[in-house]
Amino acid sequence: MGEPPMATGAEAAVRRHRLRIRTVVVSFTAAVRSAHRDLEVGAAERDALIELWRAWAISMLDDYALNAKPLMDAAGLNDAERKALEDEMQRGYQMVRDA
Amino acid sequence: MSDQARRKIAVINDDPAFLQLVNDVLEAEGRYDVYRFQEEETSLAELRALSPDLIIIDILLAELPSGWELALLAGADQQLGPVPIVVSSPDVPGLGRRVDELREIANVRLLPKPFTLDELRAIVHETLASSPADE
Repeated sequence: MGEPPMATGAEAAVRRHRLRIRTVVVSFTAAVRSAHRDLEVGAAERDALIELWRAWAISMLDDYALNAKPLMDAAGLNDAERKALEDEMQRGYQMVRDA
Repeated sequence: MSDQARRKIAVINDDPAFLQLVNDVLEAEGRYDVYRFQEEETSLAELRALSPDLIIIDILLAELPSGWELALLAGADQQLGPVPIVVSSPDVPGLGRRVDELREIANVRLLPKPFTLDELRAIVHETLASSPADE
């Protein structure tokens, strides 16, 4: 027969996990970009707000990282797929640190 | 789910990564059709032609009129006026001071940036749930 079946629920959970990471990273970088263009506050207050958002984003990514292994196990990801997901998470951390 | 039950969501933003993200999050729900608009190129006529069930727009107060003007025009428009608007902004206190102007003419909710997947999904679900589909 063909490829072994992957549990639909587990596969969906991995897709949702990826979207969770992207949502935090993209909305954080968008907020930082907007803050530099738009916030009606002084530079010091703006920078403090950005650091609060950064801490929030990193804590969210930490939470997602804790949940990643059981999700990958349930979905039966192979080594290459696990590596791709872990790389995605690390890119997310890097984008949050660099923004 | 039938096509009739699908809701049309117009997302207006000048950030392609943001537009793609909102598209992917909401399309994954399987019940929304997402239409992406680059903010500076979006006209009221395009929104009228689409006749969306919800508008998600980014408003930068420092770059008026752009999103702000579009939201005001949509709210005041006979056809688009009843369409709820979700305003996304990092400056919720600043926006909150001015959003009363918009709330006088439109059904507006605020989505503070940054946000999580669940926060984005929830505000869309709740807003559309309070705005029944046309017959």
